[in-house]
Amino acid sequence: MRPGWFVTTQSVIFALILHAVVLLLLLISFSFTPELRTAKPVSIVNAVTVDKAKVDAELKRLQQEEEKKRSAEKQRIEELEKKLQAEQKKAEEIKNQRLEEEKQLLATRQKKEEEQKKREEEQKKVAELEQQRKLEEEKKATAESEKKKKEADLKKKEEEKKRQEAQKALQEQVEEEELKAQESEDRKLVSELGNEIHDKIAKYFNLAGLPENLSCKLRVNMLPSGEVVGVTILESSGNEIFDRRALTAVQKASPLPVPPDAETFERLNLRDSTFIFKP
Amino acid sequence: MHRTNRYFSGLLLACGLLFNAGAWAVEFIIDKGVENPIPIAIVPFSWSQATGMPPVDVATVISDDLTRSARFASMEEKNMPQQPHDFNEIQFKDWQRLGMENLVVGQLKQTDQGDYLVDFRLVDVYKGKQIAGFSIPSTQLQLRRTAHEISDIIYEKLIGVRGAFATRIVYITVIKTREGAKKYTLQVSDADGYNPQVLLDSKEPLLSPSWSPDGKKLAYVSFETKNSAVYIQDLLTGAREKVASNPGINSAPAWSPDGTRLALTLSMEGNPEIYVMHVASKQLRRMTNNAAIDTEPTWSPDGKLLAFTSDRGGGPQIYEIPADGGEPKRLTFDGNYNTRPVYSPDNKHMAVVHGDGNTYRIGLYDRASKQISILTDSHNDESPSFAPNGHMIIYTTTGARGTALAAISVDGSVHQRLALQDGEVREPAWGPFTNR
Repeated sequence: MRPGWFVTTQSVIFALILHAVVLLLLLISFSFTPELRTAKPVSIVNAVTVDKAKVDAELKRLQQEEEKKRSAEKQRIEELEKKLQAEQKKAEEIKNQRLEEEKQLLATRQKKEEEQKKREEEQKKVAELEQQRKLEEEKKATAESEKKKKEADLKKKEEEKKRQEAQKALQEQVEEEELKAQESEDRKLVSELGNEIHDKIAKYFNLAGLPENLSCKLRVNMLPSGEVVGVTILESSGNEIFDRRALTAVQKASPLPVPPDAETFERLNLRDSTFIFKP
Repeated sequence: MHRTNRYFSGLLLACGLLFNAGAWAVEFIIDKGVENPIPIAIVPFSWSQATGMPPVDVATVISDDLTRSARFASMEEKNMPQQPHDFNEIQFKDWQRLGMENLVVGQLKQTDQGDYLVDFRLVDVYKGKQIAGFSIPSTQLQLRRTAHEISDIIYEKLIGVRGAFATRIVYITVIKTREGAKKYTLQVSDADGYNPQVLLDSKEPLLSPSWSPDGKKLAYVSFETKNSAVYIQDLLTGAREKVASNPGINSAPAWSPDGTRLALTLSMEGNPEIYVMHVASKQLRRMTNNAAIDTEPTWSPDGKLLAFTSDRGGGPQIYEIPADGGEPKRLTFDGNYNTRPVYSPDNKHMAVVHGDGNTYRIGLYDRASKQISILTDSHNDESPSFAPNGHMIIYTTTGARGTALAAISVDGSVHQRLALQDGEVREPAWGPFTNR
């Protein structure tokens, strides 16, 4: 729709009506004039007895009156014209005003449109922004969630770690207790083993002919089977024969008594042990 | 032989534990042992000659020596898993399986000149290493002695004390002749009784041989002049010297450790008393003065004391006096009869003849505890004499077959009769170490 066209059409009709009115008024005034003319002859008939000077004077006066009438008419036409002009002007002004208004309206409309456009753009922008925001939010949310997830994971991990540590601590405690129990058990075991080893080696430790108060320290390497695979003198007794008898005793006693399982054997470090001979 | 002994009275503590830096350090303590004969295998020596037997079975001589000492258990040849003659041939595992600790392998070689060379190695079976090894030149006559010398080396390496196998003994034999008379001989032999040599024979009694400390001379008593006289005889030259032929008894000579003096029993002043004679000057010094019989003097190893038998207390007992004079001191109080003292080389003991009224046995008098322990279990054992290393005692033992030489280890674990010819054997005396 184009509101401008409507406004223009309206204005044209309005102007035609105005012209018609003005013309009618002019016709009306013309019709009145003859009526006035008819009335005048009546007056002349009555004045037949008047002198020429008086007639001249009367004619002059009539001329003047005519003049005056014409002038008045002219003035009235002028006034009417003036009035028309004024009305035209006014119409023009109205038109202008209307145009102005239309212009304004157009401007307004334009403005509105622009505003609308702007708004739309803004909306678009907003939408875009919104989308962007949403995207960002999503992104943010994703990041957030990821972060949260990470944090959660971390927390979980930490908790797991803590749990494991606690578990470990507990286990360690248990192990320590077990170790203590083990240690005490091991002491007993080694003590028993020591007695067995002592008894077996003592059977082969020949002191015949040797002086008293000698002692030596041997390093004995054995396998979990108890088999002696190496004997060396750590501290000599100073008596070569005493040392040799001790060495022979260990080797003759091989395999030495050992724990039933290899694990215990290793735990007790029996692979490498010290034997002190001090009869 | 498995004997309980002082070592079994030890602590029951058998092991100790040390915790070092969290790690176990196990210490096992062995505070007991046994006193067993040491296992040894003397593998027969190889013989360099293709034909004939070697003049001496060196391995058997060594093996017998070691067995006689009671300190060793020699493996019989039939039980040996192999017969190596050199170190490289030894299969150690085979010997270890049998519990054999020591091995002697060797070779007897005859040189082109007819002399001999004895190579031997003493090997520690469990270590797989040689303990000693020598190559000893010898002769046919010296081969047994060389074998004894090897025994001495083995003994010293495994016991820690010098062996006394390469030593000699002196003794008197009494043989009845077809005419019913008696023949006395003074003989010297190796310590195992082999290689006897007659130094002197006599129709009259010979008594109390005594070694000079250097082993070169003997002092003894001979009745060859109808009366007793003390002689000194040089072993190498046979030269003899009469050093005491006083009226009455001249008996029981005993050489001082420094070789300058002889202790004797003389009754030239009426009663048997102990005298000390300076060998070079023949000067006498009377050591005892008592109405009882004082006899059988013997020197302490340091030469500072003299022990002798005296019945001044009623029965015969052992007394001791300082060698430079002093009051006799009674040592033995166990039983009614203790005679014939002889100091052990370490001066800690004395061997004596201990009688209980029925039997006469060899007793060991402990100088510290003053107690006598009985070493032998026969009825009539006499004349103990210590080996120079103090580990053995030879003595005579009288049984149904007469009187014979026997040896016993001082710890009393082994008795062995020595291989000797027929006849009665009296008064053995173990000779000193001689230079190798």
